[in-house]
Amino acid sequence: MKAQERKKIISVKNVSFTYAKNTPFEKKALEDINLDFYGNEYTAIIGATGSGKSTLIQHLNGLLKPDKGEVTVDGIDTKDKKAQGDLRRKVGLVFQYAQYQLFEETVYKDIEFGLIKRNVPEEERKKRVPKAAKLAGLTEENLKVSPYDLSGGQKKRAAIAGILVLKPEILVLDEPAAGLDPEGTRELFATIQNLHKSKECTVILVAHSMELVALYAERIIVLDQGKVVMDGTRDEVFGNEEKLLSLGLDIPEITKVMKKIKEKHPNINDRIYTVDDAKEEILKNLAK
Amino acid sequence: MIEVKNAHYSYKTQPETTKAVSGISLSIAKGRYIAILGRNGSGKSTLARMLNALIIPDSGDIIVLGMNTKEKENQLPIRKKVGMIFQDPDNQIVGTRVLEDVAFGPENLGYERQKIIQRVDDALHQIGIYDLRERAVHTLSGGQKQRVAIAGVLAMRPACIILDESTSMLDPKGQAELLSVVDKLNKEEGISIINITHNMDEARFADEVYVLHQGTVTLKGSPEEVFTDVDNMLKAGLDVPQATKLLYELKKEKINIEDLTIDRNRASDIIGRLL
Repeated sequence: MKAQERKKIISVKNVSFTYAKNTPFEKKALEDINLDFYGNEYTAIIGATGSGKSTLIQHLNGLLKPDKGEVTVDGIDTKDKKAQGDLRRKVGLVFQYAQYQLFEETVYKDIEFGLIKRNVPEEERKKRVPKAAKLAGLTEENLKVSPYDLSGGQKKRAAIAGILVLKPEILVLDEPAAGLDPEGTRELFATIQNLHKSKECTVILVAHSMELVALYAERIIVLDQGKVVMDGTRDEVFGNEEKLLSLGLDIPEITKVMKKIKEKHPNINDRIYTVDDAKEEILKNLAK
Repeated sequence: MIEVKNAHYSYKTQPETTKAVSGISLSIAKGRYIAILGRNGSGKSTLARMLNALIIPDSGDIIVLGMNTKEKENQLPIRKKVGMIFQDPDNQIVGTRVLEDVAFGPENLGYERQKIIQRVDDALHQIGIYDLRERAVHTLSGGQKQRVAIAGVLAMRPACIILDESTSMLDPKGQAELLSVVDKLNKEEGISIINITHNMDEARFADEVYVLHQGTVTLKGSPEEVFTDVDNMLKAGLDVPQATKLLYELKKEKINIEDLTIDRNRASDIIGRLL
């Protein structure tokens, strides 16, 4: 994407945050973070345990406020008390175990809850709930049942639909694959990719799996001990294996396979991060 | 050590019954490290609960160390020998401090004080959390809590430990900590491990892997055998290593791949030879 086409939607400026400040449990979580997020860009945030990923994303909708520096969303300072409702609507945050936070009698009612809280008239709710459910990959049948009758993957979708129904401009997900099985994870990431491709919302997510990050993210931000230590494309981040390893992270397994092949076959491109791309590269070389 | 013979089980909830396990047979020898893989709803947690008599099969038998789980008087001795670690670290802690939590099991067996202290200390040392013994459990990380739970099981001197998706709520660091402890107990203490998971990286190092799909065992064998059966693994909603997937995809394109493997270096060699 050309620089002039990118629209800055979130700006994080000189942000520091400390938990339990001035107590014996004081813990510095973020230290002088500077980041800009752009509209319709799919960004993944990675980092070892305790690197500050969850703390950072909770700053994006004003759930946490910086001790120093400022976070602005569409020009709104997250510290602005009057703008909190607006911020939560613009930036939808899906927690790590959101599938355990459903509580209504039916999935429909659970998705509808946020709209009722915001006094959206019933006529409009009737249109928005099914639409959000569909975007999240739920069927009409799913809407009628109790959340407890859904599988783990479907519950996660219901939680995401409950956010999408508020029409957020930015969807932030904390480790969306947590607690899901491989098939559920594959389906969920395909749904997220659809939301991104259809420009329904800007996607920012925290993920543990390098393979999943490699599959979809356009931009990867790496945190370490509360600081941004890498920020770039797949190529820029996964191209630096040594640095990732030193941060307690890794490169996708398929990249390791390609690197090993390259040792004996220097013409092979090893800047490959997905199985599909690896297959194409091998087939191309076999045809030569 | 554990024999499962044609076990069936359905959950009887009104108005319908849901079949969870439909005719599973398997046999687990002493000291083995077994992985049971399957997606959510495949019946794997039901199977786990049958192995320590929390669930009794509708038909078929589960024999643990020669004891049938159906006999009421066998159930307590079986649970002493087969310890279980569940998914959520917060749901299986009973004590406030680490020490109290680990002592809970032996205390309930009515042992004398000195014996309890000895067992608790041994367990804490074995798991490598002796320095955490005075800590309040709620101040620990998820991975540390799961290790406290394992120490609690260990203080009962079990012959077998079942992990029921015990790493699925942990971050990668917590997962690695837990798995290394479990591996040590298997290798050094000869405790059998049954790891129920949908994470393929955990199953890659097992002696034997069973794949469950819709309540039956659809695949069994060494990790190499199971993970190279890509069609059936995908059908069961599971993953295979990316190296294996690449070989599989190339083979589908009529490239002459002699055999599939889960070994990354071997996969690279197989492809390298063609180039």
